[in-house]
Amino acid sequence: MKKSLGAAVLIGAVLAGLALFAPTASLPAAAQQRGAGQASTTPATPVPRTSWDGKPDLTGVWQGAKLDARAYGLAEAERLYRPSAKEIMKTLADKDDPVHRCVVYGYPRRMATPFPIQILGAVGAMVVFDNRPHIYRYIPTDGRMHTEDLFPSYQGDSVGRWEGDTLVVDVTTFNGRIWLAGAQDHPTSTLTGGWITSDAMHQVERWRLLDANTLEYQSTVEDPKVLTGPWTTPKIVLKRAPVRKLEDEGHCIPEGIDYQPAGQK
Amino acid sequence: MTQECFRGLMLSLGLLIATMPVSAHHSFAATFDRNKPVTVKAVVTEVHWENPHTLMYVEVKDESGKAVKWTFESYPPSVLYRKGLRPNRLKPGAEVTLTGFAAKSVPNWAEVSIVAFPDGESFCVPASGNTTVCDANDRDVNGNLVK
Repeated sequence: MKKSLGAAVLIGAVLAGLALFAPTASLPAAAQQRGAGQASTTPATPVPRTSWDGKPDLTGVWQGAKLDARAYGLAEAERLYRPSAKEIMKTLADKDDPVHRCVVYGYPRRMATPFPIQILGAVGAMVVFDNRPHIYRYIPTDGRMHTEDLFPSYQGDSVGRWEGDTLVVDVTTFNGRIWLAGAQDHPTSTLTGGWITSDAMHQVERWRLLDANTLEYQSTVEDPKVLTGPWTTPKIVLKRAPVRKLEDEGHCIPEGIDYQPAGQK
Repeated sequence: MTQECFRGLMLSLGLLIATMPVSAHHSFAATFDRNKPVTVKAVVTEVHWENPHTLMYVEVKDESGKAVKWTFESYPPSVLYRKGLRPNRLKPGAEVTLTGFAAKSVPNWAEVSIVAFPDGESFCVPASGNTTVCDANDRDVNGNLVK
């Protein structure tokens, strides 16, 4: 009796180990979910794949919800901000938020907004189109190195590579002018102000499809000038929107600018 | 004009430029004075890699040795990049000789045509494409090759 129980435990352990370490890319998403022991009431649709390399195809319009401070993981970010950075934060109110001047939200903040983005998967790259405000992000997916001696920018320099079915994107060369969140987004009242970043910021993002209609995004932010350690966002989920493209052109008018031509008033 | 006031001016000018169509971009003739050439030896304090113009904030020592702040505007970052003028050289602390044309009505502000380094390397980067200082073939008026 003991011997067969021991054998059963051993076999169970080996099977569990195989399940843990087997490459998930070999299992369709639906089977993965069932294998994880989750009961799903609706069948998850399999992840679409590109015809050129069989990798997940993230093409589509994706929309999430506005994440409040708690859902966006800002309690943890608050713990990581340096005292010197907190002093600067406190001097920056909502009126100082760069997005009011049509500076881009940047990442990961953009993924915590309810405005959709549009992704186009292409050979060797993924392009993220944005109309709030107009900006695109070109993300090579062929595992190349960062561009040398590149000038800094709001969204930085992105290079991606596949780890199984997860696109891991390394982002450097930021100009330090975006905020991680708005001045109103605070989990407690102990800290106020704009969530500043610096030109030392470095991010590692993970983009993956949980199923055909669910995109999961996560970013780990390191910024030694403002953070004492890396801050990882919660896993942020966007759902596929039932449209073929972003519905409107979008625009952004910086505050204080009157853009209507005189004849059209 | 204090540096903060100056930057406020540059920011609002930048916003105006950002919302105008490209054809209404400020022209060389409207903003800079061809009769006010300027050449300074300076030390870079900051570089703002911005569109439509990269801004170089520098300090120039005047005759009495006092540091005077100047701002020079140049090409967009991507154009400078393709010409080889990149953050590894154009950065705070770098010694440069800047040749260009002063602005008509804003003091200590100019368009830069040539950025030159002590080792002899130089770059032809006129913000407005004005070719009286360095031409399309990247030579200066003496025929010397500028990048």
